[in-house]
Amino acid sequence: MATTGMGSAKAGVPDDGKRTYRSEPGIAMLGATGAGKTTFLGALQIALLQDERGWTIWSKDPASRREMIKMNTALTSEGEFPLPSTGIDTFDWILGSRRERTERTGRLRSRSFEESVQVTLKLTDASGELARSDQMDLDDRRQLVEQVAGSQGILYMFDPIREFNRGDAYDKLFGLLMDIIATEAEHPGFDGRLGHHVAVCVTKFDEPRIYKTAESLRMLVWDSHDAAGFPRVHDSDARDLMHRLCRLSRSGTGQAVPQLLERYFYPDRIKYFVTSSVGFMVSERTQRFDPQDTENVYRIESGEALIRGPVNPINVVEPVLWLVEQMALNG
Amino acid sequence: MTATPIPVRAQWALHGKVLDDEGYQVIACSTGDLSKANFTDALGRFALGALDTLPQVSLSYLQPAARVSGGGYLALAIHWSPGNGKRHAAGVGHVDNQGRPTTFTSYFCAPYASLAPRCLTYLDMYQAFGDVTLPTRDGPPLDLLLAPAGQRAPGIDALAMRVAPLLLTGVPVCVLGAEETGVDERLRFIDTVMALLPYGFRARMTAATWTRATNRNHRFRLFFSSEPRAADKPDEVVHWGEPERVKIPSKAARAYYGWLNDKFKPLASLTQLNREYGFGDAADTRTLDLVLRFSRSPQEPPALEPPPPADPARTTDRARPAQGADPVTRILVECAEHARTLSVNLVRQDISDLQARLKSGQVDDRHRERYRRLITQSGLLSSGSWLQRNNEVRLYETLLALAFGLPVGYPAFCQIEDSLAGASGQGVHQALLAAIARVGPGDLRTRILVAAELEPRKLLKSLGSSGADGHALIRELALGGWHRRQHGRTFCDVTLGYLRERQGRYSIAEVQRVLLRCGYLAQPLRDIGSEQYQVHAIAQLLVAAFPLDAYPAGLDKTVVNAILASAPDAPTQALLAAILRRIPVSEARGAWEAFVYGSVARMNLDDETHGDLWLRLPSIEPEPPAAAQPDEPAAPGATGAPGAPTQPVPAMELLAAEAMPPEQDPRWQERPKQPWFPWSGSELDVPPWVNPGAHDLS
Ligand SMILES: Nc1nc2c(ncn2[C@@H]2O[C@H](COP(=O)(O)OP(=O)(O)OP(=O)(O)O)[C@@H](O)[C@H]2O)c(=O)[nH]1
Ligand SMILES: [Mg+2]
Repeated sequence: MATTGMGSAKAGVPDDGKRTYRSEPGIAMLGATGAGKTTFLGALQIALLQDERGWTIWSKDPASRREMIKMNTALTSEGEFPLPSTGIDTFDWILGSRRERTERTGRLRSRSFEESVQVTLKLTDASGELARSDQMDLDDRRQLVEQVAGSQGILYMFDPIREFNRGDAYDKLFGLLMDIIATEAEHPGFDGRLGHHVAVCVTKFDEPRIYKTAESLRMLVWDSHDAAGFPRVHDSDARDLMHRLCRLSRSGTGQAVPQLLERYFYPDRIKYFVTSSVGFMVSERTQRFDPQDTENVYRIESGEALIRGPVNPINVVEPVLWLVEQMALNG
Repeated sequence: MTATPIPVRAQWALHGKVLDDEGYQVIACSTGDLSKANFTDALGRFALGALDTLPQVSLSYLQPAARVSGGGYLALAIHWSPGNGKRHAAGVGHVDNQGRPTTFTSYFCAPYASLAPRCLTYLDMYQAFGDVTLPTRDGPPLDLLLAPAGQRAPGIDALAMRVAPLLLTGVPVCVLGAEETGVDERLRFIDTVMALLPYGFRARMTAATWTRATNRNHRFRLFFSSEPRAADKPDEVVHWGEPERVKIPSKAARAYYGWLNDKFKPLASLTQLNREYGFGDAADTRTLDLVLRFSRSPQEPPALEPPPPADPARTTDRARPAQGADPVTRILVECAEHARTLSVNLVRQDISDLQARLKSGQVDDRHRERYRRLITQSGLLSSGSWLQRNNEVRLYETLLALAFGLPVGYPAFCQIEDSLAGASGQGVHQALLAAIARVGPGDLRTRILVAAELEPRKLLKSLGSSGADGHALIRELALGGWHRRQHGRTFCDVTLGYLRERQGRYSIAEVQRVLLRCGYLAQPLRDIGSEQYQVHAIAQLLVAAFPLDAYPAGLDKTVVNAILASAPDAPTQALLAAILRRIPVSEARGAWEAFVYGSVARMNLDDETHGDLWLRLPSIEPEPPAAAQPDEPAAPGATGAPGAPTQPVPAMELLAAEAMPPEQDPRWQERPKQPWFPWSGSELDVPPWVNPGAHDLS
């Protein structure tokens, strides 16, 4: 490496013109048991692979690495969903990408270089059961509350089917929020709102009842570049869809979930997404999406749920990258 | 022989999911002292994390709210899945309403007071509880008979022997690499570990035969897993089947290990003595002799009966002292083995034996060489960290005397360092340094290097009083020939520190002379530090010779010429750079010329090559004596010294040597060639959550 040329290279920029910066934001997953949190994480790797932006995912922590591989193989090769979580799992995964960047190197000169971006995500995936009111005094629940309070981002998984069957999303979220606020309130300068960025994910979009609702509301959009012809719900409609689905809530409190979030977090730090971790079923015959047969899940005789066809995650990368970006911008 | 079974009243709970409710909960429990809430709490405390290999067993305890000593319970939980293996409960579903396989937990607890007197083990409990099929409705506690597996000496497991003391340090122990073992085997291991501790520890023990590695927050003290968990406080990680990799960090725990080893090892050895022995005359004395001999060389289990008459040809062979017959060699080999098995008493005995040998005669070079090799190969010079400090130092002192000779001079010090670097990749550790300091470093280099590591604070003080003054340090540096760059670097740092600390207390004229004679160490410094460091060091030497207060105007031309053009060695760029920092800008040209002149003039060229080079070099003639300036008082202490101040120069024009960062500054650390300029530190506009170290690409 040449050392001449005074000041021609900035500190930390090696001569190949590449640079790395890293960050370590924490993201906690919240949502009732069975809402699809762990499945979402398991699908992240494959979703990144299918995404054009070229992000990669890896891990330095052997335990996180092993689980990533295990979850990914289970979903894609074995067609199996994860086991119900018990306790709190924490994964340190690193998202990596490259981007072009130009900067001034002197009064008159500037130069471009490829910058490698690394974001270490500390992902907390706890059993949704910890949101139950009877778990309040448990050690794990306290730890979960602390971890959520300490993270910068929240992935809130909202399962409309469960809301339809049980309608307990509001109660559970409220209880948990109260605990988180109680922890945060100890910090000076706390103004009654939580500073987290929240990606609200309406899960299981492939489930016919959810798909049909979106269809009847004319919220489906198609990407002409998508070979299989998968529909999506645009992010701007996602909150609306959630609202509509919540009207069907068994308890009737579901509709208040967005209000609850928007009251306790800053509304401009919340974004809604309609997601499916396993994606839509692709018709074996046409190799395309079939609006009459969307669900990519089936049950075998024992009652066990398995994945029918290839996994094509919908809106799994987006919430994560959105959170990463928000956290980068706002700290 | 099996002892009579003991009646035990066990309270129980079944945890899992029922079909109409997907939540995990206590499905049913016993109607004894403990309530459903107690069970919920106890079960919630010890989650293993979702596991795909079941069954697994976790062990814990339960302390009732009214803490009565001995009123607690030992708990054993079996985590199982109805879909695979034994079902421990009747009428439970296989999957939850999301279609996910359900894990059930059969939780049992029994009063500590009924288990402790008969030393019932976890395995005893598992055998009894594992056979129970729990109902899905609440019911009375279970009256079970637990059969203690009889009075048994704890199985001697080398890993368990080390894990037991590790547990005493209070740090959780994680066992990796046991994927191939069964749950029974892992449970037996936990039992073995606990058998090596007072039984009472079970009253507070938590352990699991498996945990999910990403379930980081669990509270098991001893657990198996597939990977280490990345927790804030790291666990002690040990590897199944690899006891020799275990390091016991605390002194007290090591002592406990030593005690265990001294007590249990001999018992275990008896099982290895399995040749056929007969009872008969004096079996007692002969057996005692046998076990003592065996404990000294366990590789070769000795025969009890006298050996068969030897082959006459070999008998004569034996009479001659064979290669391996040197007693010191033999003791060294044994000592290495004793150190490996952490046998305190035996190592102490070995040290005494070796010292006795040392006293009884001289060691010749050939033997010394052999001992050196042996010590290096067996890693003996770093093997004693588990001993008490004084014993450890005594061990090293003895080894040093045998293998390197006393006192330890620089060549020996380097040999020691090399042998350690080969064995463990480490430098000379503290206890060994202490040993060298005690036996006496043989020369100035060793003394400085040892003291700089061992007690850097006292080092400078000790130097002044013992006559190793600045000149000696400088002369030593001028000699060069460092075995490792770092040695020279350390030595130089000490010298610079010394000159700085003693400024005003030494003769400047003398220091100027000494430094000039060695060209301000410019050439020797090239072997010990980066360019950055060289400039820094020379700048400091210039300050030592021409203190800033005495030479506020910087160095004058005569001095510059003398240093750059007439020192015995060619000047280096670092020397030029350091000098440029001490002269006014207007003088810089003169310095370049002197540098060019000195560089060429000091080249070793034959006359022909030299030719008329002189004509083409700047002329560096001795300057005519400066016109005396009568009203300019000479700077104090500088009278008669070369380079007495000429014209005062504005202080800003001199790049004061002090403006450079001190040696401890991380910028001085050796690193790949990378220019350091004050303006290269400008920050990038990266977001605040980016790691502070993010720019560091080295
Ligand atoms: N149709 C459909 N079903 C899904 C999808 N993701 C998850 N599921 C179903 O939801 C179930 C629960 O998913 P998990 O990921 O285990 O849910 P969780 O939020 O982690 O639940 P806990 O670990 O109990 O808190 C899975 O077993 C699937 O049956 C999806 O994208 N589409
Ligand atoms: Mg989960």
